[in-house]
Amino acid sequence: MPHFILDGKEIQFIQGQTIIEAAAKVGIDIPHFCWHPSLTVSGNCRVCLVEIEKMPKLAIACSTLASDGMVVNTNSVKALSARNAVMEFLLINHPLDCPICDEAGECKLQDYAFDHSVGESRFVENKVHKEKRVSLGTHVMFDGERCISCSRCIRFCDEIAGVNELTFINRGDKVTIDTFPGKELSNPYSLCVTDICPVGALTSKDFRFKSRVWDMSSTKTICSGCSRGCNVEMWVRNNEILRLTPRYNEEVNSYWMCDEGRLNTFKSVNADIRVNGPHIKRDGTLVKAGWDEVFALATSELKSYNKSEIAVLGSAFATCEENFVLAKFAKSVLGIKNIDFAKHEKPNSGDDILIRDDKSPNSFGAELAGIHPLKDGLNFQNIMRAIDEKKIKALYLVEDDLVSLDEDYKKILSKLELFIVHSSNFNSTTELADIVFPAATYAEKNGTWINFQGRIQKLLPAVMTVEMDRSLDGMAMSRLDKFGTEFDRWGKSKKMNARPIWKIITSLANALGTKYKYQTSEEIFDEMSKTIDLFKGLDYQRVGELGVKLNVTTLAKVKV
Amino acid sequence: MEFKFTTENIEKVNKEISKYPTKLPAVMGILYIAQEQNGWISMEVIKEISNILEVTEEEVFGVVTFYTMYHQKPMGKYHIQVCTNVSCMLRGGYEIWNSMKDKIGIGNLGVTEDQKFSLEEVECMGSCGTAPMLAINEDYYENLDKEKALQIIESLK
Ligand code: SF4
Ligand code: SF4
Ligand code: FES
Repeated sequence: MPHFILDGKEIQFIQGQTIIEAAAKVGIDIPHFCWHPSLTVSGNCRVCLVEIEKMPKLAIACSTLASDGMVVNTNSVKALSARNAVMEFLLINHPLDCPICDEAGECKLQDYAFDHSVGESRFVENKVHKEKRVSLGTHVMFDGERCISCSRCIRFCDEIAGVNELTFINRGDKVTIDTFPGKELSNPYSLCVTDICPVGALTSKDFRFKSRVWDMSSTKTICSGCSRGCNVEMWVRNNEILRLTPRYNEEVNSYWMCDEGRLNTFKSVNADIRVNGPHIKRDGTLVKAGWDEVFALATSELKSYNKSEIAVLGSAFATCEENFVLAKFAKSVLGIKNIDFAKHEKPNSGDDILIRDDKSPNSFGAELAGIHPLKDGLNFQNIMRAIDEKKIKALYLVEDDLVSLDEDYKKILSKLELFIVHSSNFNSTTELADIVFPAATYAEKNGTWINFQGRIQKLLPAVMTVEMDRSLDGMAMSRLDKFGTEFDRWGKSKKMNARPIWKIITSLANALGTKYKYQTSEEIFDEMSKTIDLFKGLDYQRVGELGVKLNVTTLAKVKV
Repeated sequence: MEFKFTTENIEKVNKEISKYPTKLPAVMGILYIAQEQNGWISMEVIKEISNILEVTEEEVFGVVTFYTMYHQKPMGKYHIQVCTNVSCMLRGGYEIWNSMKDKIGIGNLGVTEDQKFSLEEVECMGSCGTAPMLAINEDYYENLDKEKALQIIESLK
């Protein structure tokens, strides 16, 4: 393999790679603003200037091809002074409003200014002023003074979102970014420009001024918005989710995620209508009750029906582990055959970038974990019909708002004699329930989901329930979490009295006389890896941060 | 208001396009043809050109705003451009610029109410050897001083 020398280190490369690419592949970060691994090279910021032996002038690492035997220096006197000069130039008209800038703390300009510039400006003239609050579209705000004209946002729209929505206008020190008059930045991935903008010029209207980035913890988890399962970072302060950002996984979502997933999936976790503690219906309204009381009631009620009168609905929003325990419970504890789950397909809502028609994150996993009708059992449609015909009298449903799927289900479900629901939020389905178990959301538990590609991916808890402790349970910690006390404002966080499905089912099984011993979601996974062929050899460690693709040829057969 | 090239100009446009291997580079020449016909580059002009060249409106818009010789609003019958770049400045360019502003009563990129005059302060127009200078529409007036410049304006009908 050909190689070149970078700061004395031997770097192997593939013919056609640029210096910056080859370095990035082995984890060496050459300073850059305009270069982005997933976008075309534009070479306009010049901060990546390096000295190459035998070349008369400095060259930009982002567009110079690596060649065999090349000797590249990023830290020679010449290279360093060029970088300092570029930084000085970029900072001439920069407003330096870091104290009120959302990007501060994750800003490339700030980082490089710290690393590579002299710290003092020689510029005594007036700075050029530009618009500081330009709404480019529904979700994105633009600050002209902070922009360093790297064109990443323009290239993102052209090359990834496939719509040429942004352009440079004017020139020289008046140059700025804009849309065509009368048009907006409105592609479904528009907020990705806020991730790749190396400075605070493009910010999310939803997140603007919500928090300093270092005050939040970030947890590597998965978006719940559709069956793509984009890898994300979940940012939490004061036990409240403040934003999601995409996390790089070339196999799934590359560097991107859609606006819908970014903005509208996590708000239900923070919502005021969370189910906090178990609830029982008394005189037509749901009232709070204790766990033991509710377990006792559920047990005695479930016992009073024939097996053929009961149905269990798993969920494409619940984890594989939860669906697995639920299926096992339905089959061996309740001894029933009517098991299935509702699909959440929205035909033609997907695209060929990321967004999928299937609006649930784990329909593959639910099925694979055993949520499907047994021989002679009823499937979802038939279960609903049987409820309508009053043949099925008791329904056990987890994490699914059926009424939101179809208003008509309201009439059908109200015919039930016993309706037990696990739900994280009150909704038009829980209104009809006799017993509501408070469900921990996907942000409050461990577990796995399987995306449409058959890739198994791991969820990590980012938000505490009353039964969790951020530091004892190994959750991500921010500076505030580490050094705050309970007397601080951020110490008084809201915590829900909620449990993951597997935990509730475990207690219920025990109450019904079958010993389930699960202490963690991981133990259930280990059991699955012993009993489900496709999971053979897997454990949480191997699933890791980026997930593992299951053997899809077998998956096709599994589809029942 | 919709913009369409005249039959005569369509021919010019096609000739411009035929000069390049791809369509986009023709954008500058075509914008100029449009400006001659329309007087200025309106959003409708940009839309029409983007249709003809099969590029996005945004691309054309970027070019229009980059170059100062494309007018983004209707200008006067006489568009007066005064150079204040180094050579002209050294030889009294600012005096001419200021006297123009006073005389006509408008500022940079202003247009008189009767649409007769518009004024623009410009960078070097390549006439340094005969500085200071100004241009009225396509014609250059060189080796000026304040009096000469005022006389020229007086003579415009
Ligand atoms: S807005 Fe940000 S991404 Fe876009 S050109 Fe300016 S600095 Fe670059
Ligand atoms: S494409 Fe799907 S998984 Fe990805 S961010 Fe959007 S909703 Fe979430
Ligand atoms: S990163 Fe190379 S010029 Fe911008």
